Amino acid sequence: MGWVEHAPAGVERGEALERLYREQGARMWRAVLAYAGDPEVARDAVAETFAQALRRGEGIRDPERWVWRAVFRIAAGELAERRRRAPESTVIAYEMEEPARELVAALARLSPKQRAAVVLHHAAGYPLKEVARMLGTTPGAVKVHLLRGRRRLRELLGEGDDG
Amino acid sequence: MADLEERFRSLARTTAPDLWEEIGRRRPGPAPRPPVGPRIGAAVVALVLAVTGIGFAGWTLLPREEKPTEPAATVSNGAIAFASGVGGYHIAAVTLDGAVMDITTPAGDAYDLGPVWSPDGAWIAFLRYRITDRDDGTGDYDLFVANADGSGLVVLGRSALAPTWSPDGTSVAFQGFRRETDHDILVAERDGSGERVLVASPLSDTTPRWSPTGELIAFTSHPVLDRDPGDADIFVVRPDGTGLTRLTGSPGWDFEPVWSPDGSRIAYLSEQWDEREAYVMNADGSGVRRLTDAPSNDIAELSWSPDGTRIAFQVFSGTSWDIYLVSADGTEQVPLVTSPLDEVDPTWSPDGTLVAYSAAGSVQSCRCDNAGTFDVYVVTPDTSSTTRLTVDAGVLGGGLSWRSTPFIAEATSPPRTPSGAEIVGTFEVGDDVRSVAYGDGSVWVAVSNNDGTFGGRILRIDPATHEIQAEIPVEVIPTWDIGGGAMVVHGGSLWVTGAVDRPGNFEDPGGGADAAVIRIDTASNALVQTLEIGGNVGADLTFLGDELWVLLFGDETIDHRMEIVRVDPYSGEALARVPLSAKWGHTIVASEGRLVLYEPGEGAVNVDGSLVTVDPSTREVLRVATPSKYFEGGPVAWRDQVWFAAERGFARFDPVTGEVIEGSAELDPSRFAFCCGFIEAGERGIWFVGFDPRTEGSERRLDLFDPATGTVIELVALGGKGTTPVAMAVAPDAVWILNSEGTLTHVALT
Repeated sequence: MGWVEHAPAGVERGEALERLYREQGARMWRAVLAYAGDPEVARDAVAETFAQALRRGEGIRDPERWVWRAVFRIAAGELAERRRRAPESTVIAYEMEEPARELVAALARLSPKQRAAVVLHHAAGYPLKEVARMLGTTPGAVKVHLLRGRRRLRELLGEGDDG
Repeated sequence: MADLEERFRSLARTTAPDLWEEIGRRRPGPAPRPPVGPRIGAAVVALVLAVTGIGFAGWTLLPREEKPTEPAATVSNGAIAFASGVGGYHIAAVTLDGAVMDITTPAGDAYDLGPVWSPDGAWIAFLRYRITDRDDGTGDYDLFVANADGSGLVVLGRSALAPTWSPDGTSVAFQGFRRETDHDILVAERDGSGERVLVASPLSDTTPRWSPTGELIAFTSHPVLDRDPGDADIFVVRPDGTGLTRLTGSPGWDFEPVWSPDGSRIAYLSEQWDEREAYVMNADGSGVRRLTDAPSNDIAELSWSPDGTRIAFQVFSGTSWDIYLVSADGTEQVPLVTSPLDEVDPTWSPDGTLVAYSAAGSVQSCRCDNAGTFDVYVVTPDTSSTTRLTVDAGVLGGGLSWRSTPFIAEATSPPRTPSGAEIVGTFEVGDDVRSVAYGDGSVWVAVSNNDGTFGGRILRIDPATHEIQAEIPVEVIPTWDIGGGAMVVHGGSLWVTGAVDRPGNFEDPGGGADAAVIRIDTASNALVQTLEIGGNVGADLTFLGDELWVLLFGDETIDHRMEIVRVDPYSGEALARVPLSAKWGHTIVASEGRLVLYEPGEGAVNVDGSLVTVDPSTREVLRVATPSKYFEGGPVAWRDQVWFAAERGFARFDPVTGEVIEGSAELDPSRFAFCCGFIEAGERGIWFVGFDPRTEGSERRLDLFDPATGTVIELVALGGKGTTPVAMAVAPDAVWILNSEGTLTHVALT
C-alpha cells in the first residue's frame, strides 16, 4: 500500500491538484491569456481557480472539468471588472512571439462567446463537446461560435477565406 | 504570414509563469457562478438545480402522487422541426416516415436555429443568427415567426432569444436585449406588432416559459456580471406584467424553468458550485423536490412527458451525452439512450409514445465550415424501438420541436424541370477541397492536406469516367474555402497559386508563408516549377496574353495591402508590383488589356467595395465604387466583356473607362437568389449557383445568365444534400461543381 492511501483526504486532493496544475496549468494560463488578452488576468484567474479548488477539496467531483470551467468564469469576471475600472487598458506587455501577439489582439475583437469557443478548442485543445460542457451550451452552439470566430479571425488576420 | 494554426502553435510556445507557490499562499475570493441565461433557441429547455445537499424552507420529503394528465384529444405526432446543416443552416422538419421538408431557406451567411412550433402547429418561431460587429456575444440573434411552410416571414424581435408561445398562439414572449446592459422579458403579437416589455428588472431576465394555462410566464433573473452580488432565481409574472412573484430562493442558482403540461408544477435546474441537478416545485414555489441523481453536473434540456409523469433530460455521463428519464416525483431514474454516441435535445412526442433526440457519432473534431454529424432519432420510452429519421442532416443545437398536428406540405411552386442540363453524378474527391479548374481535356481539383500547411495534392480527373488519372502532391494549393479560383490551365500547364511554408518569410520571423505559383505540365502531370514570388499568400492568378499576373492577399496585422504582381513564368522573378488599397480580394481577371478585380470595403468582404481596373503598362489604377452595397460575385470575363454579380442582378463593367453599366441585367428577386459568392464565365454565358426563393427548401440550382440577351435560364436543381458549392469550373459541354463536403458534381449540358 502506498503512502497516498494513508494521507488525509485533503492532502491527497492537494497532491492531485498540484499534479493537475503541473500538467495543465501552463496550457490553461495560455488559454486564458488568449481569452482575456491580458497576462495579469490570466495569472490571476489561474491562481484563483486552483486556490478555490484547493479550498473545495473533495467537494469537487471532477477537478479537471471544474478548474477549466471555473477559470474562464473567473477570467470573465476579472476582465469585466478591469474594463469597468479602466476601459481603455488593452496593452499586452508580455514576451511572446509576434504571430501569437497578433492572434491575441485579433481574439480580443471577437465576441466573448466566439472567443471562448475558439480558445478552448484551438488553444486549450478541447474537443467540441468538452467545449460545450465548459461553456454550458450545446456542441451545435459551439460550432456556430467557432465558425464565426474562425472566419472573423481570418478576416482580422488577413488570411484567405471567403468570409 | 502565419496562418491561424501556426499562430496557435506560436501561442503554445509562450512561456507561462509557475504559479503554484502563489496558489498555495492565495486566499480565494467568492466562488465563480454557473452559466445561466441565453441558450441558443430552446423550445423546451432545461432546469434544475443546485445541490450541495443544502435545503431550504419549503422542500418536501414526501412523495407526491402523480396523476397523469390526459393529452388533448386532437394531438398527434406531426413533424419534428430542427436546424438542418444541409446546404447552410436552416429550419427543416422531418416526419416519422423520414420525409424531410425545408421550412426556411439559408440566408447567405445567416443561420436559422432553435425552432418552436406554435401550440396548434400553424406557425413556427425560430432564431436567425446574423453577422454583426457587436461585441456582446448576445446581440446576434433575431426572432422570426413564419407560417408552418416557412412563408409569411415576420421579424418578431431583434437581439432576441428563447421564444415561448402563448397557448392560444397569438403572442410570443422572448428574452430581448434592449437596454445594452441586460436582458429583459418582452412580448409581441404573432404578426410582429405590439411589442412590449414585460419584465425589465436590474438583473438579467432570461428564458421565459409561458404556462400551459396561459396565466403566467416563468423566467429566470440573475446578476448581469459574475461578480455582482446575488444568484439566479425563478420568477413568474402575468402576461400583462402584473403579479411578479419570486418562486425560488435557494442558496444556489435556480434557472431554466419548464412547466408541467397541466401548469401545476415547474421543473428547473439548480446549481451551486459545480453540482447541478434537476428539481421540481409547485407553480407557487412550494413543494420543492430534487428529481435527479445525475452522473455528472452537466444536466440540461428537461422535457415533460405529455401526461406529466416523467421528465426526459440529457446528461453527460463521463464519455458522452446520454438521455435519461426521471419520474416527476423523483423516485425513479432510468437511462433512455446511453450509447457511445452523443445524444442530446430530448423532446417528448405530443402523444407521449416517443422521445425525439439528436445524436452524433462524434463531435471530437470540428469541420465547422461544413454540416455537422447530428441526426434526428426517436425512441420509445421503454427503449424497445429506436429509429433514425434523418441521414447526415447536420442538426445544429438549439433544440427540437415536435408539431402536434400532421404536417401537410403545401406545394408553393411547381416542380422544376431541368432544361438543357442534367446531373451525371456526384462523387467524392477528398476532404478539404479548395478549387476546381477545367482544361486540356481534364478536370483538375485541388485538395488540401488539411494538416496546417499550405500543401495538398492536385487530382486530375477524367471527365468521362470520373476516374482519377493522376494525383500530384504539391506544396502549394489555393487557400480559399469558398470561391475557388487560383487555378488556371494555360499554355499546356496548370498554374496554381497559394503559398509555401518558409520560416522567416514575409515579415514573419517565427515562420510563415511566401506567395508562390506552381506549374504542372499537363502532358506529363509533372510538377515542373515552384515559383516563390515573395509577399503574402497568392489569392488568384490570370494571364493577360502571355503575362502571368498574381493577386496577393494583404495582411491586416502588419498593415500590408493587397497587391498585384507580374511574375516571370519561368524564373519566378517579380517583374512588376502594383499596390492596392484593400487588405484582401478574391478574383482577378484580364480583359481588354486591363486587369480587373473587386476590392472589398473596410467592413465585410462583400460590402461597400470597389471595382478596380489596372492598366498593366502604366500601372495606373482606376477605382470605381460598386453601384450597390453588396457584391455577389466576380468579376468574370465573358468574351470581351467584364461582368459581376451585384445586389439586384448582373452588371457590366467597362475596364477601360471604369464605367459600371448599372442595371445591366436586373434579376427578379422573387425568382433568383445568389448562393455562394462566386460566378464563372463560359462560352454560353455566366454560370451561377443560386436558389429559388419561391420554393420551400434550400435546394441549390445551377442557372445560366446570358449576357447577350440579359436573360437567365433555370437549368438544373443540384439536390438537397452534399451541395454546398465552393467552386465551379466550366467546360464546353459540362459544368463541374466542387462541394465543401468533398464531392464533385458533374452537370452535363445539352
